[in-house]
Amino acid sequence: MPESKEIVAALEKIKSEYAAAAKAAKSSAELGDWKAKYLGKKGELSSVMSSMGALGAEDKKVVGRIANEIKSAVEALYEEQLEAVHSSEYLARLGVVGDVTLPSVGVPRGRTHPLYDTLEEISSIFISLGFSVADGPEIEDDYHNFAALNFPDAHPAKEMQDTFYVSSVGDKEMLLRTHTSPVQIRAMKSGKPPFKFIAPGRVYRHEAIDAAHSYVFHQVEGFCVDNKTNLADLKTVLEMFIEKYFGKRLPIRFRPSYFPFTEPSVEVDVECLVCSGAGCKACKNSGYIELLGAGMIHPNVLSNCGLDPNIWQGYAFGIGVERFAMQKYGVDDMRLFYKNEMRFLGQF
Amino acid sequence: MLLSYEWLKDFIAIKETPQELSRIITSLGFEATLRPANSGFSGVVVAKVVSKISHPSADKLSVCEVSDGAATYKVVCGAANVAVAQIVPFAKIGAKIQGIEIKKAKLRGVESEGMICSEKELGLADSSEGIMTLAADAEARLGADFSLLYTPDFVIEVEPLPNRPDILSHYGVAQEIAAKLNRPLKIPEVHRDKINPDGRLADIEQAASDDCESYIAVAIDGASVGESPEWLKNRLRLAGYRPINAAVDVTNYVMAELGHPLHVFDRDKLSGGKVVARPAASGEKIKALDGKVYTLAARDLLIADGALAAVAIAGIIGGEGSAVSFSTTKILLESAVFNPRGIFATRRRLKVSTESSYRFERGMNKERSMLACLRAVELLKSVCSGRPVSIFDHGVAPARNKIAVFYDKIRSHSGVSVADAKVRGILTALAFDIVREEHDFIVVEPPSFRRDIVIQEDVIEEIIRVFGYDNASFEAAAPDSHPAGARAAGFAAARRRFDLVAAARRFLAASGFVEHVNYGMISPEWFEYFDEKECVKIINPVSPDAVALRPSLFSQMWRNFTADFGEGLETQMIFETGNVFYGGAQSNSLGILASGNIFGRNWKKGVFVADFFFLKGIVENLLFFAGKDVALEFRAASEVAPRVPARPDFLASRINIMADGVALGCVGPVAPSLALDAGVNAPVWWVELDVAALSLLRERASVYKAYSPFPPSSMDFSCIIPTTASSDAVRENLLRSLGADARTVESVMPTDLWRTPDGETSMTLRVTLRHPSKTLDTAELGALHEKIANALASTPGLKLRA
Repeated sequence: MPESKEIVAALEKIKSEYAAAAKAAKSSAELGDWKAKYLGKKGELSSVMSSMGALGAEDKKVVGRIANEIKSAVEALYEEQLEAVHSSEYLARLGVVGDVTLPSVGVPRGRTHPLYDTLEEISSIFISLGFSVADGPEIEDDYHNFAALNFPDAHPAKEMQDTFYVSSVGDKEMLLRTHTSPVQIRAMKSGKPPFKFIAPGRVYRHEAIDAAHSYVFHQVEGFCVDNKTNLADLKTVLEMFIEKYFGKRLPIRFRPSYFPFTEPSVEVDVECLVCSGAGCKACKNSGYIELLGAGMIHPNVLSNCGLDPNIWQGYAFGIGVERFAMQKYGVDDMRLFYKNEMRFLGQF
Repeated sequence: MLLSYEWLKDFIAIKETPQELSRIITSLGFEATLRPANSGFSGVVVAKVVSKISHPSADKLSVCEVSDGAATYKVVCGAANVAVAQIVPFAKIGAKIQGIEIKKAKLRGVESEGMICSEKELGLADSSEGIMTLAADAEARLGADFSLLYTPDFVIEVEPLPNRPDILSHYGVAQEIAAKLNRPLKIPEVHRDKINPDGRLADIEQAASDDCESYIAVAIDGASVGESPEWLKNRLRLAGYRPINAAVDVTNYVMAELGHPLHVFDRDKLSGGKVVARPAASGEKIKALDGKVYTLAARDLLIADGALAAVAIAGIIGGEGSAVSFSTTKILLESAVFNPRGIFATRRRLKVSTESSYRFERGMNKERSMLACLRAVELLKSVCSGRPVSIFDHGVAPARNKIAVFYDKIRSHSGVSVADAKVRGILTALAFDIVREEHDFIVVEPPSFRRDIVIQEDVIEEIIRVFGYDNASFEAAAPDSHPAGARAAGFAAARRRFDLVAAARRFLAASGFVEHVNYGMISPEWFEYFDEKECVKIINPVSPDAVALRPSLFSQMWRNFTADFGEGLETQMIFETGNVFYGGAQSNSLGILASGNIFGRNWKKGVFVADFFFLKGIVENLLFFAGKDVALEFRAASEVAPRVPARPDFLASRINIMADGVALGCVGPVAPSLALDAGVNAPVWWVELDVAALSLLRERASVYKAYSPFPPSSMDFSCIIPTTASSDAVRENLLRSLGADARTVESVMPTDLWRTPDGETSMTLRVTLRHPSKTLDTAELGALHEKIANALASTPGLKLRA
């Protein structure tokens, strides 16, 4: 029969040894084995305890206390180690990031096209300034594209805008609109003034493609009609637009020009962004860059839309989207916008 | 229009530099650009060729002796036209031509002491044949510096405007500058003596009287037509004209000066020594000065001679047979006004444009025509020693418009305030006559050369144009003073389309798609896939590859895709928005193309190949992020081909996309014929959506609904489903069969799908249950399991697997 002293010695031995093995356990399974080694039914503690039946009550008390101490210490250590093991197992599942310079995976980057970004941005600014949006057909008749816009019939003014003609519907000669201005006519005819619209869209001119020309391009038409709007209002609106678009206030100037559908007609220039008006290559030493054409809507155009020019007046302007985009992104060849090459599109 | 800075000084005193002047012209509305002229040479003198022998060892070269009056120089010359007695520009050793110094040089063994120059070398012309020769009168100036004849100058190129033919001249531009700078304008020197009227010099046939508004002809006798003097040739060159002979040069000179086109005939070559203006006979032909034969139509206006033989296409181009040459002694000078529409129609049909037609089609006038005629007579007297003997003058100037201009309207229309006195000053300087002055308005008559001034607004533009927007103090407009935009339903629709496109672009780019923009015209090969009759064909295409508007965005995106695929881009996800034209309709379309591993080539070897289910998700999410609230239906298109005659589809099959019974577009894989032709083995998927239809879909308006706080339970069911049943149908049948218990079904999701060895479709469905008001216990779950199993089994043809 073991003496209480021997039992105590066996317990002390367990007490001195259990912790080291626990630290060696690397997985929850190993840790379970370790726990069973001490606390299991056939574990060391059980086997020591099973031999203490013969001890006296006092000894039993002492041995029992030591055994309980060991039991709770082992359990505590088990919990503690288990958490450590779980956390290292979790980290192991995470994997090692290793080379953080490897490229990302699974998140391909798309692109919006710089031309349509520009079209959308211009339009959005005018929308924020209270303009409504109108659109219209790209296949137009002579009336909406020319006659109603005060282009004299059989006049070289028409040749300012070389025209594509298309297979006709019925016996009417149809053409591809050469500007977004026909939308003015359609919008004014189908509504009641006051009007304040933009009409973004695609237009066509029959000309050879080169760095500065394209047979397809885009415009944002804008117009505003009420009983007092004039060029001063146009200037105010354009100044606000320019401040929003270029992110800063820039002086603009009006230069006389000619369009059949406006009277007076102006070219609107903005101070050169490159040289701030001092004169440089970008602005051909003028200090200004041509921005858009505009003017007061010609009384004949208003009459053609059923509006009395003695009551109604207003401005119209047309922005060339390609030109804006070229300027904004420093693109020197318009054809690049239509090539859809990834090396180009990937830059925006 | 090319202007000489020095020439302008004939009409107005100019203190301004060429740069300043060019800016002033621009500020008046005529875009002007400036370049120096006669500035590319120095040390060049007037010299005479005194001898010429062939070069001993080079066939194409000659050895000449050239004298500047003081010394003789030996020069090797390569020009074929060099001849003894010519007066030539001679660059001595040390002279500079276009920045290059002339040095003594040996040419094929013969030393050359300078260079005889051509117009091109001197920078006087863009091209020249052989050396430049000077008029005989230059012999008096042997040894003189060439820059005394061709003085340094500036050429101001002015952009013409279609409504302003009057500024296509030095005098016209000078008048504008005079008005702007408030300086007097000098009228050019003209013939003042009376010339005998002679009605026999010309006839205007009744049928031609509409197209021939005015016709002035002057007979000039005793002319000797030589080369023009150098001063005249210099100015002609600066204005962009090639000197021909003195008489023709005078007409071009006067046109450059006063803007009115003139023509000279050799009167000896005109039968009867007269001209007749008459309509052409249909099919009548004339050989013109440009060497081409033109076939005329019945409405074209002709100038014929006394025997009615055509001698010129009126206002457009002269005939070869009646041209003035160096042997001409009798000249008939024509200064006419032809109807602009007639000129425009004729020259468009004949596909010819001349300096003359360019001006006539923009509208000339009687007054300027007479001034130009008398100016030409003056010059023909001095340059060709001609004598005006008779004049024919037909037609009267139309009455001038009277236009009332209200001072108030100037301000309210333009926003610019101009003092009343300044208004009158500007108009007077622009040659307007003020015929009535009232307190609040004036009545003006525009000058006869301003056929473009018709209404008050036209006059207002003139005032503001000269006053200058720079000088204008715009009355500040408050931003809120603008009218609100119209809110008619039609315009709201355009805004919705705009917003939808904007949202789609943003979403697609964020999902990895790259936006394309194409020209939007297709090549004829596409008529294999699209009915040519339903396409909008271009009558006058710019290129044989762009013959019709795109019937679908696919055509050009496919071309881009295959080009990039050929470059090794196997993964491509691209989209485009724009209008397409097919079957008589324009529709705003959104095209999406995807092929390859959507993750791209990657080091983790992650693969998900773009397919129908990927694009289905793209379309669903696109609409979600565009703020739409729709349950999309994808339905394979009917097998029956509706189109007759059969035309191959560019898609192998089509799955229609619908919502609430409205067609939104379709999705499908590209037809193998197209793909294999392009060397593409991988599947390529295509979606095309109708933007207008999408924009009309119901907007998502999310409203919070209370949800169950109780835990869910899931159970899996494996079943063999019949080939005719869709997963949607199975789910719907399940929910229907469950009746009231369906409310505890939170979701039914296919979690696995495979084909059994017997060729059946096996599907695992995970049904997630959640009761709205309690935790489902084991017994309840067991009961529900049984109900669900029974419900599934009730689907026709469906077998539950053990």
